[in-house]
Amino acid sequence: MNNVFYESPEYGLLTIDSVYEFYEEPRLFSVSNEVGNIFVVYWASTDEGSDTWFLIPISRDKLYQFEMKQVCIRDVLQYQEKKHFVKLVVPFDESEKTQFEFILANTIQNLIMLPLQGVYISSSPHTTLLESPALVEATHEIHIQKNSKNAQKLYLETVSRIVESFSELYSSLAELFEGGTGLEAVGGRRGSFILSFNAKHSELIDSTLSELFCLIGERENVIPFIEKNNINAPALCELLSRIANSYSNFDLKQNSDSNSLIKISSNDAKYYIKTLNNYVSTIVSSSQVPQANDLKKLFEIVEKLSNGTDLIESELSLTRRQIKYYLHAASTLGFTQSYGSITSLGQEIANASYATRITITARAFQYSHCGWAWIKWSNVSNITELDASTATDFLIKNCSSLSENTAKRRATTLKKWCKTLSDAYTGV
Amino acid sequence: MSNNSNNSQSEWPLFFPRNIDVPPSDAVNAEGIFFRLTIESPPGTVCFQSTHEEQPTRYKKFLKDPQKLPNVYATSFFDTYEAAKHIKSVFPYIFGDKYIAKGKVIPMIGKMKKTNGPHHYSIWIRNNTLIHASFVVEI
Repeated sequence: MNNVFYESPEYGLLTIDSVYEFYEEPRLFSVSNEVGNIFVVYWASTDEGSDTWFLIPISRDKLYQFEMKQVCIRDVLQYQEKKHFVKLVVPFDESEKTQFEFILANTIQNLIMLPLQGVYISSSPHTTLLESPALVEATHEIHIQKNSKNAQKLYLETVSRIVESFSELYSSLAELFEGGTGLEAVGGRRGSFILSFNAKHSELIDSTLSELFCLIGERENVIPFIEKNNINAPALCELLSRIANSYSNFDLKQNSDSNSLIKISSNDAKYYIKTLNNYVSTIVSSSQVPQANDLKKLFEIVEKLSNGTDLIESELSLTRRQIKYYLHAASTLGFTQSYGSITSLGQEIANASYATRITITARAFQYSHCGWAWIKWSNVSNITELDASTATDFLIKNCSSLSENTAKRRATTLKKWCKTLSDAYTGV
Repeated sequence: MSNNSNNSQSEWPLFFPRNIDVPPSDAVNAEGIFFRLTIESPPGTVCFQSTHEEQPTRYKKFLKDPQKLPNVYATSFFDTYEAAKHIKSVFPYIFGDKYIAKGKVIPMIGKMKKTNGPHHYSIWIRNNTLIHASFVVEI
């Protein structure tokens, strides 16, 4: 294995977890063994035939502070948590024996000149050690942590929701800036919650996000910026709500840079929720707009989901991509969960006659986010009063995350649904 | 096939191995402004020795790692002054007495590849390039 640093009967197999500094090869990094003991490894010197390394035992908490640049390199070396550290002299030639020596921690200054106080690691740790093109480099990291010791614990569910919201915001920006991609999960590291991602061609997205969250940090009015840059406001609102409700702080770091791209506290997030909620009720995000013209096909898919039948392209006469659109449309109406499982309303659709299906769907569409936003925008009270021909105009003006061409394409679904469903709509 | 067999035998140093691609096939023409930690001011030829020339047995460490082995025959550079300064400050015992020299690298110097970390480059330097003459120590 390429990430094995050292193996000995005393410490077991030490593998490299995160690299903080490189020079020709990793020179300052963390390692751990099979039972979770952690060490920071510091390059002490090199001679013609060997490298000398200091193997410093470190607690998980201190390592986290080190990685978050709350503890400097000198403090890790000088103020160690255990009485001894290990000096390893590792020959370049594997056939030669490694020298292993316990050293009193408080004598480290007598051995080498230490870095000055206040020198921190240069960037977020790199978890990718190999140069193989098959491996994906982590370009960004998300850090989520409680905003105070008294805040409730961060559960996986909470973290997942925050990451999901951020991913939606990021992906909608990637759609706007051609060439950008969504966030590809690469791995995780020790810390409160640290997730590594790869995002290609992200410069424009990063600068837009950085500017947006700078405004948020300064409590400025963000609506003009959102409108000017076509930011996905519902996704942003969702992200801020989830950060505020979980009393957590959210950081997005770029691994090529030492600074945070985004840094937001739950208090900042809370400040914007009311304003953004009001704004968002009149607009829709691309993920809330269906693109599935044929309602009969939609019912067929819901029925198959209800029966646990596979969705086969040839049986449905749809491509894989079209099936995805129909599944998405079903979720916008509440027939399925966002992750694809059938809801009770979906079960009712599956078991009903066509006429009942249309009646149920009419109400579902009226109260879907997209349907209701269209009604509000049109200043009418229900779908029977909607003018189907305004669908394109509605999407172009209220769904900034859709390009004009996509808005026109999705408007055909709204028009068709409006025409089919308005006759079947029954009021309360 | 080794790059060495594609080029004239005198182009690359004789200590480059013949059984692997050195420079590696994905290295590109060296070009740009770079920073090097040097032992002299003004920099001399000795300041631009490859890792192999400085530590002739280091290659043994990478004999089982064909991806990293070619890097041993290269010379390390940074693409920013800050990155060079930072590495000096992190390892003062090793680099504290080194100078930071800045210079323009052109394709005739050799081939380069971004290796290990955000600002670190390996450059495989051809014979007789007088690269040291292009570098000046930054104050």
